[in-house]
Amino acid sequence: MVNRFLPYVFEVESMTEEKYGEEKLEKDKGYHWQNWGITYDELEPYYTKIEKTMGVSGEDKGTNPFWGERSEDFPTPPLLKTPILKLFEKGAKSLGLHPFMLPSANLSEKYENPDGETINQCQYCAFCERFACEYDAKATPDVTVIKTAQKSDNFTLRLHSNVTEIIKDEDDDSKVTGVKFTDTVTGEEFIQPAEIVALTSYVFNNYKLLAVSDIGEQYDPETEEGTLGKNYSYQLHSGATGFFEEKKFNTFMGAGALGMALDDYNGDNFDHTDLDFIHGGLIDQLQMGADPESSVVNNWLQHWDRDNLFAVSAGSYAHMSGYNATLTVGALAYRCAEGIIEYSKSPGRLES
Amino acid sequence: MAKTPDEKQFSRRDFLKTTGVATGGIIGGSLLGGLVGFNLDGSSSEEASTSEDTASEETGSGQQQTGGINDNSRVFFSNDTDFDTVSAAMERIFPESESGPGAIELGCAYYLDGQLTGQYGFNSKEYMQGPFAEGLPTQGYQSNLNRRDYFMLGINKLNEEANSRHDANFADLEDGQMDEILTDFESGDVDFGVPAKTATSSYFFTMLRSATIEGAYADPVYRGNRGMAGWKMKKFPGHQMSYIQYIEDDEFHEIEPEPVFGMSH
Repeated sequence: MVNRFLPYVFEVESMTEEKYGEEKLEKDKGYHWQNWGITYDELEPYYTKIEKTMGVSGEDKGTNPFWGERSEDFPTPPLLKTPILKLFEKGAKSLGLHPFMLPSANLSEKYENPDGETINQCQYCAFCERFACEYDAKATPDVTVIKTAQKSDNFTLRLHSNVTEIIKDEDDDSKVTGVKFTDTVTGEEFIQPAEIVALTSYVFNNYKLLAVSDIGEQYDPETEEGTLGKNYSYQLHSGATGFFEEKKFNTFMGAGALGMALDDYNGDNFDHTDLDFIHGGLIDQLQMGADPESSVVNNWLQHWDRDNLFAVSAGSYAHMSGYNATLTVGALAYRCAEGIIEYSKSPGRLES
Repeated sequence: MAKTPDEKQFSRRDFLKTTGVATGGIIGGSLLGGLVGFNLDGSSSEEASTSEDTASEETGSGQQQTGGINDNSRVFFSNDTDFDTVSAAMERIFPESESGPGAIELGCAYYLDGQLTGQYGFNSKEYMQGPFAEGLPTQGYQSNLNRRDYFMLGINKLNEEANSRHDANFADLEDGQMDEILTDFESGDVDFGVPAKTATSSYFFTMLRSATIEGAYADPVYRGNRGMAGWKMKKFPGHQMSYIQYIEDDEFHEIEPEPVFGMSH
């Protein structure tokens, strides 16, 4: 499921303070709230771009009143509604809520993306989760961006390569010069020189590479100094199961993102005045932000310490949201790519 | 091959010995499955069918469908007592009922045998270095032992308890007696004689229970869910190529199950 984050998410700190007062943030109790350093409106074009690359299947933009402004509708129509979903929809609407089909990266129809890659139609085989899709109906990198990259003469994909360290420039402490990696088949170590290094692995590995390469300042929870590794957290899942004595459902059929949701209880979409919580959790470690004192990267995902080092992952989120992280990582990746292109033309600190 | 009462029954074992096909190479099953079923025509013989043979007989035709091998070799549980113990315990957890077969007939213990032989048994893909501590219930596997050793600790303990309480091995007890012991394991009341961070009876029970359920419902290629009987009890169709033509239907669809290696394309 590929949801955009709500506009509120990017400015939880300032929006909460404005609506409920500063005490609501309970910073004195140790909650490290801060705005992302980028707004929903600034990220919107990148959301549209990644949705088009993936061919995301979803409903008309008017369906969910809580969505942020969308410059365009989803590239493909929503997946098919099962009897279970119709039941959910009926129940939710009867309570005055606003159910919507989950935007899905298992596509409802065959689609050609702007790069010329084709993603096929989902067959609802129900083997989505943790398996590759036999139909190429899941918009994963192997079906989209990697295929496109491999058509370029500029691109080499090197497998069995475990990057172990980022090499710092000894003469220029605003630069890195490449990475060290190990060939996991032969055990040999190599240095790959580079003018620009982008860390695009999972948040833990991005963090680890920065930490072992001694780039940036490790966050110290006692002194609250440093930024690297601050505010790590993850998603929480809870749920309920309905049992029907009189009905049988074809629960063995389905697709990974086949479902419905509602945002009525998400974000700041309901009044939190008398509640002792706001919004959602935090997912940091490589926090993105407006300044080097409070973050690891700027809003181009450029590292504050080393101009030619970029790091993209969900670790850049100042806060988690009430949605999965994927689409926003994709949007930020496009944003980062733009930053890298800009940097390659005129090296230096990008204006954020 | 016509069989008369005087002819020695050409058993499946004989076939496997003479043809030399009983190696791990054949997982497609269509060859082996087809041939293995051919002489099990349901007629009884003096080599009274062991429960194993009966199971094969019943699932003989199912083998062509399953594509899995219903062979009864054991690699980890080469010791009969150990195997009988774990089988009996699994059968108490998932007994035969009006709904269908229990753990023994489903081959759950063979499933576990296969798993303990591989990565699951050696915890190969897990972090297994110290320091070790007793984890919270939410923290998963924390032991310094691999699962092979953990299971053997538990299985030996089941027999120790059985003998100390009733002077008999676990597999020879009455159902109720077995249940009593298993319940005590489940609530952590049985002392394994090792620190809790190494092993507890309750975590052993948790793993045993999970292995039983997995053995009942995993694809037959993993040696359990024989004849897809676990799936059939739940009306789960296994591995189907597509449901797009049914996905919006109100009525429940009963579809003949397919295993992952049994389909004709």
